[in-house]
Amino acid sequence: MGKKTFIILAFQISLFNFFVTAQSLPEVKAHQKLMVEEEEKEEYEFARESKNEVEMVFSGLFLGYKKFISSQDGNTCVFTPSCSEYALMSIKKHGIILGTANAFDRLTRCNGLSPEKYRKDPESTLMIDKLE
Amino acid sequence: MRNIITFFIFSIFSLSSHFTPCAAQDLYDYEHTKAFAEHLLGTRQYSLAISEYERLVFLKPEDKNLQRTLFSTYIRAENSALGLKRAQLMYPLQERIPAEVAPIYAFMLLKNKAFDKAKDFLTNENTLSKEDKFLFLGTSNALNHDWEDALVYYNKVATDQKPIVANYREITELALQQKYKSPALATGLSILIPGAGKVYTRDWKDGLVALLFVGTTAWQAHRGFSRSGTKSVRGWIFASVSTAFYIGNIFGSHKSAKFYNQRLNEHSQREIERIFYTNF
Amino acid sequence: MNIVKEKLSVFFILIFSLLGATKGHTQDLHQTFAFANELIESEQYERALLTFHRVLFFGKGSYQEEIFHQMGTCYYELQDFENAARYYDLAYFAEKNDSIKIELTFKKTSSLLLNKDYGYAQIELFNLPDNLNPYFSQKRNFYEGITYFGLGNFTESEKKFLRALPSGNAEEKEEIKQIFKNLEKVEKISPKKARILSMFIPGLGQVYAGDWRNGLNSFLLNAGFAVLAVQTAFQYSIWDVAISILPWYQRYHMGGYMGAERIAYEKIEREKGLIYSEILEVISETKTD
Repeated sequence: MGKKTFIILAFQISLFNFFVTAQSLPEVKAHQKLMVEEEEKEEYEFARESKNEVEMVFSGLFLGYKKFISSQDGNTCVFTPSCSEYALMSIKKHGIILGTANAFDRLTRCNGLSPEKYRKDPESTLMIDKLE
Repeated sequence: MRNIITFFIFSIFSLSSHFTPCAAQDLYDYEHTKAFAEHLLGTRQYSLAISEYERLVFLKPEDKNLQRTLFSTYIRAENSALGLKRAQLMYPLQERIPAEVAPIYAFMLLKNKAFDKAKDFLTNENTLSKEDKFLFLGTSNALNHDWEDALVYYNKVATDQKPIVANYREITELALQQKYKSPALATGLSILIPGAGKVYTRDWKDGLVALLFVGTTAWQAHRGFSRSGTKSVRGWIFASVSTAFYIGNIFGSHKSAKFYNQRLNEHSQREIERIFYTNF
Repeated sequence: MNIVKEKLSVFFILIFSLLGATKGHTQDLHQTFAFANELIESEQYERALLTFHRVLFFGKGSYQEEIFHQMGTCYYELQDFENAARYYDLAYFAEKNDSIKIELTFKKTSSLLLNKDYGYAQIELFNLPDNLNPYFSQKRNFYEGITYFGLGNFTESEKKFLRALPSGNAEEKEEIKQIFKNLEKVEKISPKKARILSMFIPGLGQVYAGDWRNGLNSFLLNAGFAVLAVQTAFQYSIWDVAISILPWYQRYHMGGYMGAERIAYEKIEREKGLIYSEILEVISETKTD
């Protein structure tokens, strides 16, 4: 405690000529990023790993849909992960026939009429429906 | 890994014996550590308490009750997975686990859903009472939704020895009497009428939506075809979408029945867990 | 992979818990306190916190003001600013030296700011005594500049930031004034205007907010639906347009103008953030002779 007081006092006495910045460089730097909005990048890792050509085609369709169509939509899907993400994951997991069937079932369930059946994601307030 | 740890422990230990001065007050000795550890437990700072109990166990390896407290601290810090790993590191051979630690070890196995391991441990271990063993084995089966086997074990426990078993039995019997939905029936119903399978599994809103989707798209396809015959692009597009919704709904109805049953099972499982965790 | 990770965690818990027991020279109260400070020096903040907890528990009040202060620093470094503010506050009330009390107020303010609690940060700064020496009052101006900026009061923020610069830096002061002028342009962007523009011509609002890619994307998508609607109307009927095209058209049209509003709003926030960052860059370059 004695040491600290001494340093601060010595500092202040030497500072009476105004020509010093009170806020140290690390102090300024610590606050510099405060209001810079970090851009949230949706990466869709699962869409970038494909085991075969069929998966590659669907992954491409998915990424194209996300970039050019979904981006122009309001938030219409009631689930997280969204129907398109679910569809791609489903096709990758169950294959093209069962995967597509499961995806179309998801589309009919995406109606928001049965909120009691799902847990809510606190951050997005969407209903959680993971691929089983 | 075990060898590395042993090496470290021994090397640090041998170093420390050279440097340790005869301090009057040693904040890291057994007594101080115990007081601090108990303070941390009392103030519910479980994660911090873990390393204190680790030290106590190290300082007094013969005190098996300390080991039990250590594992219960892992559980309270909601890290029973790590607690189990720690126990397995401490006792590589399950049959060496002492009587003080055996119940909490079994508890951690169940909490981590290691049901096969739990069965193996409980059948081979010989410090637990028969009553305790059957109770654990029954609960292991119940948490795994195997209600029939669970009841067999619960029935072996004498009620006068363990009155709580009556509660377990009651839940298990209720679980057995529950009316489950048949996935095959749900599938069949949806093949006949789109959405009917979901109405059967009580997801009637989703069922109606499915009927609406299949119906409107099929009607659109029909309009397309009746206007320009099989050359109608519109007709084919709506027909394939309609088929996809139709098949999707059949698949979904099967899944819906399975989820319905799973929800019933999970409800009973939670009841079992509630008794199990509060009475441990 | 997971198993290895878990085994490693067990391993580390073991090693850390035993280090204390065996590290010969850190045993009594004073030495444990010194050891905790050493841990801060070596940036092991979580271990330092536990060690400070121990000193607090056994010390029965000794070293309190330093411990609270240091614990605040640990949480600050761990970016747990809520706890940092709490411990700086405890340290403030335990501390008797006025200069250190003022420093602690600044540290607490900084924690609150980094937690984006601008309102509380402002209250904290109000509590500082009026007659501060030049060093501290310069520092107060710096923190007030950030606080007002965060609260959206840019006129006050500019005044404070200018006062936070030492009097020799005329050039930097001019620069800051210029940067705040740029802010006026940003403030003229209106999310509402973007929304209305996109309602009439899809994509126009996005272009207005400076987002060409999304503007073009929205325009083409809506144009596509318009073409499809006209085609269907001629080939089939208006009724077909109404039931199979219009719902989609409506969805993406609405998505477009809502999106334009959002894009404009995000643009404003982003630009403000960059301007703020520029101001601090200028301040960090001020001469300290």
